Parts: sequence; structure tokens; C-alpha cells
Amino acid sequence: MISCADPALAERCQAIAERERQEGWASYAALDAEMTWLLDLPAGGDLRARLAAEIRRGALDDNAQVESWLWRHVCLRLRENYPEFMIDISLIPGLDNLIYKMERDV
Amino acid sequence: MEDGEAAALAPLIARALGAARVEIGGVGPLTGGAVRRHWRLDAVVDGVPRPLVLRADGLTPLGLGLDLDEEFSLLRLVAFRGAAVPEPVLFIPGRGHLTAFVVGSADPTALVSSGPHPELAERLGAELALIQRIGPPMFLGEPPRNIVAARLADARARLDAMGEARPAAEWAMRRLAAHAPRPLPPVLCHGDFRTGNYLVADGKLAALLDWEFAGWGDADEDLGWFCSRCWRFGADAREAGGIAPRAALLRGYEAEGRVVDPARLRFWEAMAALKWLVIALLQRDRFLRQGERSLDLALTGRRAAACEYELLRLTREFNA
Repeated sequence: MISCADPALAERCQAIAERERQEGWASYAALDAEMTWLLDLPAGGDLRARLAAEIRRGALDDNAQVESWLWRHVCLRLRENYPEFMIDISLIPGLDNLIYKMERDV
Repeated sequence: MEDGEAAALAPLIARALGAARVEIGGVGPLTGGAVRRHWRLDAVVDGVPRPLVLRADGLTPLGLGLDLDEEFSLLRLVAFRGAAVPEPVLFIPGRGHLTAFVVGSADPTALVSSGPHPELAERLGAELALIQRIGPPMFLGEPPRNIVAARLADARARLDAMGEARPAAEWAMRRLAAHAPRPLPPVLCHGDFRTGNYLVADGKLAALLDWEFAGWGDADEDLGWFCSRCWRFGADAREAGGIAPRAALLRGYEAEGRVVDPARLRFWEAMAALKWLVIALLQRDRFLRQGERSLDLALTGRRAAACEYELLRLTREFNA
């Protein structure tokens, strides 16, 4: 479930989340592809290990796109584990861009 | 544990209690505790019923916390100093330790669903203040010079040892390191001070349990653990362990002198999410890697994503 203080935004995001679920857009593969593009990394290998290493050495501090990716990655895992988990999407940074990207891509 | 094994403990118990005769009328496992195992022993000491609890290691080790003998020594110390704990009776090498059986329930679901319990939260706050006035025993060694740095280094080392990349945890640890509050003098911490780890009888605190994670810590560390969302058992609006508003816990605590800085407390709530992430993954590995066939351990591993969600949420507030 998705909760948000703005009912219209919540409804819109719920619809996107549903579409995302049906079309498999927000898969780990899609998120990995996005991160590969964001960080301009060569494809393949353990992307998450490289991302973790970059974060640890401070190369990505305050990078809003990376933070947004982390939120969506964690939320994806949460939705897998707990379909009923209340995700407050208003917390996810860069949501407007995310909606735009999702609408464009799906 | 079989009845025969329990009966073999009778002479040891008699010696520890200075009793002429001890009989073990029955023995049965007690529920609760995901790290150690417990049995109730229906002892009769010189003709008087005196139920005891045997606490022993788990089938597989978590790799964290005090040994049973250290925990027993600490229990004796805090009991002597007036903390509400089960009376320590005897440490038995290779077996575990015995305490008095305390009547009450530690069931968090029942407690939370019957809430709110503001007076209980206030009492717990006062109890925590009392614990923090106890000087830690020698075997705990010197306190870390920088508690936040030590906790973060420990979490990193444990996550690295698991061989899994957790970018969200890395992100949060960067923020925690960057926003660490000014240190306070280190104090004795319970280390697992939360709903589910204390016994309640007739709505009142009966005993604090599970001291295996006790040690030197920050004065807000136990408060943050108590208030973290993972220990509210679904009653998220009652920030003090799902039983009361945060103010009730702090009222009891602050009555003993120290005023809590809300921002500091929020920081230690975020640290609590990190600690629970590490423990949840260690518990998962007892199932996945050490072969302990426990549904509870397997399910605990699935909590990792919720811990990371909390870490992102709470560390984001640092910038607000």
C-alpha cells in the first residue's frame, strides 16, 4: 500500500505502482540498469557492491538520484516481503522526476 | 532438557542456596528469547516451592553479546544495586545460569494491544536512569573512546563479513557518521531494552530480562532502542515501545536528573535501526548458514528491508 498526505498524488502513485507491478518495470534489473546509467558504470559485475563501495568512499554524498534509487530499491524489497507495508511515498526524494520517468517509460 | 538432567542440578542448587534439600518437581521449556533458551524448573527448597529459570545458550551462536557467565555476573551487580531483575541464583559452567522465576508476561502483542500504559513507560524510564547510575563491571573493560564510531565500525565489519553489498545501509552509515552528536559520558546500557524484554504483572514492571547485550554505551542508546519503530509492535503512534507516548518514558527518566535532547534521541533511533538490521541478518544466517531450522530466525531475516527503510527515513531527517 502507498500512503501520502496528498490524496491525488497518492492515487496517481498507486496507479503507477500497480502498472509498475503488472508490467514489471520496477524490477531489480530495471533498477540496476538505471544505476548503471546514473553512475556511468560498465555493465555487468556486482553493481550493488560497486555502488556500496562508492557510497562508502563518499563519492555519492548528497546525490539525490542515488538516494531516490536507494529508496525505490528498498521499497521494492519491502513490497516483496510485506505487500501490506505502508510506504510513505512522500518521503521518497525526486518523486516528481520518478513519476515523469515512469510515465515516459511505461 | 530432560527431568533427569534437571534433577542432577539439585545438589548444586542446594549448595548455592545453603539448603539441606532441593528437589526438582518438573521442568519445561519457556517461550521467548530468540538468542538463548530457557526452561522453568519447579524446584522445592527445604520443602518450600521455589520455581527457577535456567538460561542457556542457543543451539547456534549469534556471535554477539556477553557470555553466560558474564551475564550472570552483571545480573548480580545490577540486582545488588536495586534494578528490577530476576534474582540471580547460580552459574553452572557448561550449562547456563539460574535465576528466580518471576511471575508476569513479556508478550509484547498482548501488552501493546491492552495499552496505552503510560505509568509503566514512566517506570521503565526511571529504571533505565537507575541502571545508568551503576558503574559497569571490570570485565566490560574500558568504554570505547567514541561510541558512535565504534558502533558504526562494528556494523560495517559485520555487514562486510556477510559478503553482501547493502548500499542503503552504507548510505545511512555515511549520514550517521556525519551527524553524530556530541558525546556524553559513557554509561551502562542494557543493550536490548525494549518491549518484549520485560515482565509485566498487574500492569506493573516485574523484571527486566535478557541482559546478554549489556555493556558500555551512550546515555541515549537504550532510549533510542526502546523508541525505535521496530519495537512498537504495530502501535506506531505510541513511540515509547508501543505502550505510551514518548513523553511518558522521558518523564520517568528525566525525573532522575538528565534532560534528553530530542535530536540526540532521534539520532539513536536511527542507530537502533542499523543495529536491528545487523542483528536481523545475523539471525537469518543462523538459519541459512548455520543450519538451525527455525521459522522465527528465517522470518527475522526478512525484516532487513524494513530496517533499511527506517534508516533512510530517519537519516533523511538529519537534513531537515
